[in-house]
Amino acid sequence: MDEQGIGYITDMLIFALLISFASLLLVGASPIDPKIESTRYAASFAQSTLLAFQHSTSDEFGGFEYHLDTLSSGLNTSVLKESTKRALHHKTLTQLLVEDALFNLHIEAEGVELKTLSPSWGMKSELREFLQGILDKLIGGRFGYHLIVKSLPLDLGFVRIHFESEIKNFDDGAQRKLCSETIVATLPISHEELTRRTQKMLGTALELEPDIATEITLELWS
Amino acid sequence: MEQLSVGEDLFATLAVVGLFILFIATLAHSYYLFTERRNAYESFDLTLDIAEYIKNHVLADSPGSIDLTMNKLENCSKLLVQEGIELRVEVRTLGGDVLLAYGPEQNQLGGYLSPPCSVSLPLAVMRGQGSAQLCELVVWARRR
Repeated sequence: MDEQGIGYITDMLIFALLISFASLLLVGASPIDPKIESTRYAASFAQSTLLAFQHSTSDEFGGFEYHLDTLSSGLNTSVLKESTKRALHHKTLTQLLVEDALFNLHIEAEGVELKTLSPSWGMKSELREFLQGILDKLIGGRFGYHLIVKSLPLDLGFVRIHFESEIKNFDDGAQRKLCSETIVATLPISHEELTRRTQKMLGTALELEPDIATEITLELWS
Repeated sequence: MEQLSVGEDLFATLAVVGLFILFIATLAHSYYLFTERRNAYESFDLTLDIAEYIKNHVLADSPGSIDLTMNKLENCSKLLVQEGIELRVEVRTLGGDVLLAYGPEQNQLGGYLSPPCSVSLPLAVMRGQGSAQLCELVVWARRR
């Protein structure tokens, strides 16, 4: 093989090296960041879920009803049971989420969270299961989720109070938060009812604002 | 002037041509993979845009809820066909019952070169008397 032939082969090997490098760049390069795409879809999905919850009523899922736990004294007759039944078929899922938060009063005094006794209404756990079932059906399998319902804190001088509840379902593999979408709702109970409930929980009457805003945040995880 | 010696060394010529073809083929294949991935992303992006548009504008009753009206969907589909986009829209309950279906079947929509991309979004379907059902909007779209 003469020297010029060897020269050509050397040139071609350098050329091949450059092409290999270009190919590697092309294979490695992604035209669009897949994280951006999945985040965009997740954000749209979360937003749509929160908006749809504002309209969807519980009766579409068999409805929701509960009995007030007032029958602890053995007077457990069917007539009394019927009279303590509250049916919430007409309530939207957003209203039920906020009601769920109302069962979780958080009191903070000088930066320290105080423990409060949860009310003994039978609604609490059943409502949580009902809502989790719907969220699992809608979101589960696609994303992990973390739904937080939280009222804006009320500063009463000596204490700060807020209502907060959360429902979550993470797979073990969930590692990355894709999005966090929030909507604001008002409490679905009257001001008098809210005052009565907080009084029952705290043992003292509070001057509450008439309209307490509640944030519902849905985080989706992959 | 010195003469070229490629013709004198057949082995060198074959090696050069062989390497050249091999690496050009590699480059072409890499580019094919790149464009395929780009098309998949673009297709998903387009389908998500269409699904959001249908949910928020075409069928929208109020934010988050829709009315099951076919007329507006037909008009929207016609406009998209003019742009070279085929569409299938379904509104399903969470139990899987189809409340509304529009457009060619999914298997007819599918093409070998550009398979359809699908996106589903939750929404509420108004049923009158203040009641609404939680459903899913599923959209398949494909560029012809």
